[in-house]
Amino acid sequence: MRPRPGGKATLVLLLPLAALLLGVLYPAAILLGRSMTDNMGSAIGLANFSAYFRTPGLATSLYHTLGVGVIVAAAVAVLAYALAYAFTHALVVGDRACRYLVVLPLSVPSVFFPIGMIYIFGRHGILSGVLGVGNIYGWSGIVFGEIVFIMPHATLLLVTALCGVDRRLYLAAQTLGASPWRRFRTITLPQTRNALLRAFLVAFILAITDFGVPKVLGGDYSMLSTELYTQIIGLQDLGMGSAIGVIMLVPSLMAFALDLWLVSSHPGQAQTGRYEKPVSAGARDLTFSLFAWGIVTVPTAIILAAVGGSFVAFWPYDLAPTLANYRFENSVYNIQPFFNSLEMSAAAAVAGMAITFAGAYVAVRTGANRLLSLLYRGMAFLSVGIPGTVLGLAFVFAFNRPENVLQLFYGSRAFLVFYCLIHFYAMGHLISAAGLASLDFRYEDAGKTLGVGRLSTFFRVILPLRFPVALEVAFYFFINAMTTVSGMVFIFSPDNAPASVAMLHFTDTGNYGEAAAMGALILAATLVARVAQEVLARRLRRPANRVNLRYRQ
Amino acid sequence: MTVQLELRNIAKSYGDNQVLADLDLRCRKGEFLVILGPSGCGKTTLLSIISGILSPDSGRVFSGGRDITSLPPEKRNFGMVFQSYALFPNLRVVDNILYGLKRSQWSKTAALDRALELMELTGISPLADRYPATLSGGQQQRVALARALAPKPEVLLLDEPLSSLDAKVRSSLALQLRELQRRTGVAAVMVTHDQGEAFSMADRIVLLNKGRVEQEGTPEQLYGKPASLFAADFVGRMNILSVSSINDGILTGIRYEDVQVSAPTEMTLGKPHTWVARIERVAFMGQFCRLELLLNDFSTRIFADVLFDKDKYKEQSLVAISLPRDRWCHFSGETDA
Repeated sequence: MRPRPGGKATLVLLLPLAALLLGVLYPAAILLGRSMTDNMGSAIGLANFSAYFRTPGLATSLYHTLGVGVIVAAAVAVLAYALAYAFTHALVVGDRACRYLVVLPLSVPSVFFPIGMIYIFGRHGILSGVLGVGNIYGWSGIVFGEIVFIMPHATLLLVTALCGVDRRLYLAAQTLGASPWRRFRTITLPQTRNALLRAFLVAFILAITDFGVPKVLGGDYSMLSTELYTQIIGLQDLGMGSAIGVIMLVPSLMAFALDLWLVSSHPGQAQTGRYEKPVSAGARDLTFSLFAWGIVTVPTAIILAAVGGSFVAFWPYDLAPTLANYRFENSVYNIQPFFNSLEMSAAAAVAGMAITFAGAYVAVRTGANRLLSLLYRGMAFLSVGIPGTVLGLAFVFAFNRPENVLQLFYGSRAFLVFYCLIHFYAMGHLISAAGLASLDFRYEDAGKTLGVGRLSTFFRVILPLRFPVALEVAFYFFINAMTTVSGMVFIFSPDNAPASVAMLHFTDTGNYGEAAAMGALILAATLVARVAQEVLARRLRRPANRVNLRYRQ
Repeated sequence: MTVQLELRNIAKSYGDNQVLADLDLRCRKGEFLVILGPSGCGKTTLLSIISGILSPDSGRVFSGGRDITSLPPEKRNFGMVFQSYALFPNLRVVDNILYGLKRSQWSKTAALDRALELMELTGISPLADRYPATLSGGQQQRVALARALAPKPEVLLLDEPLSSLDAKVRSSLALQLRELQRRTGVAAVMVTHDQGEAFSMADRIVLLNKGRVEQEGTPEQLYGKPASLFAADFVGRMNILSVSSINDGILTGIRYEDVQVSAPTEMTLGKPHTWVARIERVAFMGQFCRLELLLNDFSTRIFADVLFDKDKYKEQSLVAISLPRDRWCHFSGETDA
């Protein structure tokens, strides 16, 4: 049912819409313009691009990146599909614990994995001799690290899709005599094919734009993201840097457009089945349990190794337990970046929740101006198409200019919060919108027939019913603001350096112990936030504010 | 006739909740058996056990004399039509029907001939190339039926197959479904909570209540001689009386339409089992009207369904009502409804 027009509600959309236009389209346009000028600011057309492709060292970074992207995306899609299948179509022993471990990598910045990998597989790592891996710097290290980093993103997406496969179809196929393999081929795979493709695309975008893993493990294997960093921060060649940014943007936007097409063009695959746990089957469950636990062991071991490494003096030469790494003596910032990150992430969580929830409410549940809400939804979704690295770079060009009044705001903490809002807007919006759309649309009408206004119904019915969704959005913003590296390296300023960037600096100077310690603090903070979210959500599930029905005497 | 499907001592519990208790069931070859009962009576669990989707805690299932209790659904060769039809959304109608025709048993041409034959039978030949999402509910139901019948199943199972259709389509499809079953001669077990549906289709009805068989028999037997208060109440409408002048005060049932109402003349009142009563309310029901009557003991209320007559039945007027003895129903060993 279509909600009835609500004129005033439309106004609520204007603020987030303006923020999105300012934070997505404007910087992207400036970046595009900047890529066609030299360092003095005069227009030179496509000279930067032709220089890029003519310089052998630079051009190879593109081929490297695309190659790594395809390999990583393929591996992640296949592994994550099998993992998601295990969780949805078999009974995994210790299912809950295993699922927590699957998403654990989301709680740390990507730069945390290389540290753990060095501790395990590096020249002096625990397993370097055993496995004979030897040199983890270069192609193999990047591919391995990215797979570990990206797996949870793809797995979450595929679990949702595999849950949606209508169980009754399996029963129907069974009564028609279909074998398990035939059921998989004719039901599971066709119904989740799009999700599988989407998982591939999501993994591809993350792999070609991530900065943390190649920064530490790249060695002399050049990647677009590290090349970008070198051009901007190292060589101060802003023209070439912005050209690389645009080159990185092209495959991302192509993958994004393909993704959009996949989502919108196959409504026939809209799945309506209610998920039911499969019945137990010994051999199948054992196989999938072994597989799932085998897979999660890898990221868990890497994270544990890094956390463990943060508590010893100097891995692997001096294994004496110490807290010295947590004093952060090798940095002028000391522990301050951690508190900066906490403050910034908390602000992003509150602001992100309020804005995306209110925006989604107006766009989904009110009859706000259709064109405007369509534009709003489009912009909210578009923000995910610009990778963090490119967005950060575009922010530099757009807001660090004397002619822009917003320069006063540049580099401030509020500016970093603004960056986080824009960068993670899409998911915040999607979570809110999905939660709000699944509520009966007649609540507002029921309120009106009782003479209660929309705003009152929002605060008394909609918000209490969907507060767990709002909490989830807040947590999403918090965890991502805590762990994001890619764009932050370009826009932070010394007095508010975030923890993830501090980690990067520690790895730059070879202080892996302190980098690991900073990562462990981030991990602890996100885990605490996670527990807080669950406790709050559980408490809210209890019926509150019940009116005492006994008559007063 | 020989027995096709037989269930012996079937029991099933979920934790402390016993859903089926020591249940026996038989369905003969070519018979249309309907399992009727209110929601939560265990009928869906029973059907799942027959199909092999669930396995019973104890008891055995036989088909054609063969013990199939431990066979999974894919080895049973039972056709099933689901409440939601569960058509494969990514396959065309014809491919849905071909799905159950295994390569090892059907050559390519034989399988296609079989599919065409069933589409002909169910009247969906023009829809062969369509996808399920583009079909109406009634059309989907026919596809589901054709798909279930294609592999020549030993038993056809139907899980509330008509419940998601609107009333008009439902009654015409019910007749077609029955006709098709008769023509193919397959034994059919249908589960439903709709007594009208059960009566119009069944050779035999098994009435299920709280996991036990309450009564079984032909529709006429169930309607005419309900064996318990539950059966009397669930199937049609019945007055339940406890009056000393009827049957010595033992609980006795009589259907609304079996209550005879006439003018209170000396002749009518002289007939056996006849009383004076006052019409308390007249409710217009369409083809008939329902009278709420108060007996002259001023405590017993009786309902009667009679042909509508505006002048004959007026509220507060007195009438004679007869409860013919041959219409009385007795229930054994029950005191609560």
